[in-house]
Amino acid sequence: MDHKIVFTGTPGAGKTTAIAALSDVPPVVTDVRNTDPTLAKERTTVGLDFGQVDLGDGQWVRLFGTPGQMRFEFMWRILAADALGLVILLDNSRPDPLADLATYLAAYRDLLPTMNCALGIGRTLECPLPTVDDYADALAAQGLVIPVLPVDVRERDDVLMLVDAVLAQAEVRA
Amino acid sequence: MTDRCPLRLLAQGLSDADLAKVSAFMRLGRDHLRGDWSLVFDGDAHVMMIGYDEPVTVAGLLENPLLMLNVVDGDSPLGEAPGVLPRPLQYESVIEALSSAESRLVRAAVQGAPAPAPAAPLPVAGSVEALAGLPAKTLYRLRRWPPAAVLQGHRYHLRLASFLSPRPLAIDALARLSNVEQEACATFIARLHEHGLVEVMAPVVTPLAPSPAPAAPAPVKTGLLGRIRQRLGITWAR
Repeated sequence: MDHKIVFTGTPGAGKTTAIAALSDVPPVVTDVRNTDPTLAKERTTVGLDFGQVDLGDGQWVRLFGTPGQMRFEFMWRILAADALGLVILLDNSRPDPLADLATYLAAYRDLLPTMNCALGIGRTLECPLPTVDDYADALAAQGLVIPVLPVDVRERDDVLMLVDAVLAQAEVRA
Repeated sequence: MTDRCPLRLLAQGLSDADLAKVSAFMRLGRDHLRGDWSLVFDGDAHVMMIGYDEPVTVAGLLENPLLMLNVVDGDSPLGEAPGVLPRPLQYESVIEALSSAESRLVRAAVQGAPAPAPAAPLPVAGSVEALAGLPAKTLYRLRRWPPAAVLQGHRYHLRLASFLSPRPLAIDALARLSNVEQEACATFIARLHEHGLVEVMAPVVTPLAPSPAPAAPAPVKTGLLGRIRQRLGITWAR
């Protein structure tokens, strides 16, 4: 039996890295050379990322990463359908990260009230503003109670904290 | 207009670079802190941050500070010790230390102990005692995700808040789900309550069954989630 955790978020927020931190096997990635000058990285995901965790007894947790670019928005919701949880990763060094948040909240609007979800904010050391509390304020303004925490997706423990927050919600709803 | 309490951080033996960092961190971290922190160089203070091995005499310092912090070089073997901040100073560790001092002030105020520093204690709108009058099965649910300062102090705060986000839970249920001691859960909820972050709901009254119901087996899904945690190495609080 398969269970699914989806990582979504802005390009460069670290979805591929987060999946790699958890996956039993090197994640399958669909990266191509980046041609977007606003992204400070050589390669970017255009399809989806995929990793998995073997639970034994034929059960797996499949880890999916959505492509970050808006033109792939149609895939975001397809991947999130029936997911055990959704992790939204945002990059605080982008020009308007709160607008990025609004984009993802809008994209998942009808799923979020019942979706186990956590919000991870990256690069808060280099770019301390907006603060994590600003994100929590933005969520509260929309009536959403979603765990939000600063993360460095290169640190496995940080990724696990996000997953733990998602699993906690799943457990309460079980 | 502000109701934030003035708090003093006494710096001693720090380099200009360290002082500039601390000052900037206090400014940046203002939203994560409950008090109005100022950097001072003499007199009584709530927190003392020193760059020497031993503190020297400080003019006007009459009371022991609530918290002593030692700033050491990054390669010092003391770097991981409690109360030690390794260079280069990091935003999170400085703010966490100041937040910890604030929590100590709150605890001192709750316990009726005299505040060891000259400024007035932080206002405490509620406490564990505030929850004591409520029925044991009272339900609590987060109104909104708490500010970072409220979650600081222990990693399980994040987990407890996550459990409280989707639906209302009683303290005993929260303790069982989170594997965190019931007293710690109550203390955390009291802290949320102080900040107006939890909705308090009357317990659900269920009619008495004619005979004690057998204990229900754990839901399959809960077992699955436990296995995912175990497989990923997510450790529990206890």
